[in-house]
Amino acid sequence: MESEIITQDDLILALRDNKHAPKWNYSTSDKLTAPMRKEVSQYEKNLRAVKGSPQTWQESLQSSVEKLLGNALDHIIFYQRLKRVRQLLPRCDHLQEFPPISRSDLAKEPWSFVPDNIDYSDMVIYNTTGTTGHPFEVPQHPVSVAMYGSLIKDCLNRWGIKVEFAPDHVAIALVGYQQSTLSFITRLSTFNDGVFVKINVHPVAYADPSYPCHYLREAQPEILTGDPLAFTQLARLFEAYHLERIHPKALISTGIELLPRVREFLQSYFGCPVIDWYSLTETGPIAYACPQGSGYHILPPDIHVEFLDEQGNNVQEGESGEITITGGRNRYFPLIRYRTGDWGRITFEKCACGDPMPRIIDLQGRHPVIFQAKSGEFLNNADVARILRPFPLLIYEFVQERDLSIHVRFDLLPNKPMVDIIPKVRQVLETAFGAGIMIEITQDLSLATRPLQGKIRPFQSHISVLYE
Amino acid sequence: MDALSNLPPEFADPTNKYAEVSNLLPIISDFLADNLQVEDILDLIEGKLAALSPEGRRIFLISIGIIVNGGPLPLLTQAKGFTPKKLAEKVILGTLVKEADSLGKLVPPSQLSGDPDRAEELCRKVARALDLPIEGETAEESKTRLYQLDSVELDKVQQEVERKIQKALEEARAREAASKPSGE
Repeated sequence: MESEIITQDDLILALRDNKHAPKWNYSTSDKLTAPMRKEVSQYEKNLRAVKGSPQTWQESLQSSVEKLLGNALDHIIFYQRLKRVRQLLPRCDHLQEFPPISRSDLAKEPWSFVPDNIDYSDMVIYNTTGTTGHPFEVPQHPVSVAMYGSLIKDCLNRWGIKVEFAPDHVAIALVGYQQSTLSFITRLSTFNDGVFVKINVHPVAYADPSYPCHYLREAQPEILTGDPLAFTQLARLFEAYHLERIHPKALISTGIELLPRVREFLQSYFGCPVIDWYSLTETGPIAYACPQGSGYHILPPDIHVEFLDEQGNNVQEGESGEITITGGRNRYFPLIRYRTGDWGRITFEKCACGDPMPRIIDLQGRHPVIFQAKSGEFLNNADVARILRPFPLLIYEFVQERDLSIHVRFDLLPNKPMVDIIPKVRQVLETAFGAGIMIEITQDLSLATRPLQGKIRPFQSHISVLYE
Repeated sequence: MDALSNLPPEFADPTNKYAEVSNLLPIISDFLADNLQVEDILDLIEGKLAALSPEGRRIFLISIGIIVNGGPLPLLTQAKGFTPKKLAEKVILGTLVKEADSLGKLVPPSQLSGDPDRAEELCRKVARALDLPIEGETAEESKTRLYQLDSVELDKVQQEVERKIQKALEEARAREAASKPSGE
């Protein structure tokens, strides 16, 4: 399907051919057709109506979850198999009969979670960064991807940030700091056809390390999205080259935990709110940081959030549990009781900010992990996940010691041969981290059989954290 | 045979010795003699049982129990026009051994024991082998119900769906992804 959006206009070309622009290495659009745009627009309208009243929200959620359960029992192989050995009813009050699933389940047989009764021609694939040690591909639909935009706008609105997304300027710049990542420019219809740029602020992407600062000064994005490491590196670049800083209306921080000190620094540096955003590739957006600092409000009204103890039982309100998601907007990968690996507590208490949605308190997870190459350059866990992605790994642990030595333990996906994997992994790691660093790689069959409860820390670094 | 009629879960336990061929033969012998008055096909059965996987043999044992127990359908008493030997060949060799072989590759024996759907599936397959009508159902309804329950058929359907989805995933990999306004 071709997008309805025009992505080769004067503004796009000017931004693309700007002398400070990064090396563009990708080309895409939001891939929305006219009917899809309509669907997203309708979702946005409903969003306000549904979230306006707790009762409407609960009724709407119950209806969408029951529809999901019914469809899963009829059309998703994982649940078709399951219903042969236990009685499962497509009712919210029977949700707990459905077993919680983990990344390990999704990594082993992702296809068994894809419904068999839909048209696949719009399917696109995203890779998870594998930050919990089970890398896998998540199929998505352009509509569910575009709805990220609807939720971002809802969040900005909750923060009282007035935006003026329009075709004549850059709506959003997504910045990364990675050895290798996609860079592209397009327009997004969810942001009123505003321009969207995805750029890498790592020096590898430019002829001169100061270029990303110049580029962003010229592009003047309304909103910056990205992870705290990329934001911090960007601020450092502005400082290092004595350039006048940019002042977006907000920074939306994703990917890894936003430490309080880092948030304060970024807020003060860029002169705008920094909103922590809790979202996973598998689930889409889950919650955003409350403007009053009171935890994280659940953002989409179409996800059912449970908090489970280590044995998979629901904990009481206020007790800490693993955040477990049912529902969402991804028609190609609808999840039922998906254990995220992140922990927190739920509260339904009224919040002073006015958002009636419940809040996650003490959200734990998404710890940033920074590694160092022999040259002194930094890599993050997403870099390492990308490097290891071509290999058929079911699970892995990647540890870097203070002396920069690296220890990798892994287990393979079922039915994948072991042929040459260790020398090939060693080779790619030597290329990324530099020759001369001690690298130990072993296959460990016990990794995959460990309990679900997030005991595996796939990325561990004993060097000091870069951006603190 | 009384021990079999309650199908205790230990029949599915891989560590027990019930399902070894040498132990199965006397059980089957009793079953054939008590229920079908047949005694002379054990040599033939021994070879077939030896060819089954250990899981298949456990499933075979549980299947015999389901049939003896009456299962959800009282079948053998309704079978008319078969010599005892023909009946044994159809039920034991034509259905139960064949099913044990297929199911042994698909379903853990523990899943078969105590599962009403699998018991019904098995009994319906025996009924089909013997051309027995199911009381209160038309032939078409019986066929549909068996299709819904049939583990082997379901496995085939699932394999087909798996191929279809794997192909879709492969094609999607070749497509560029839609632009996402934020990272994760």
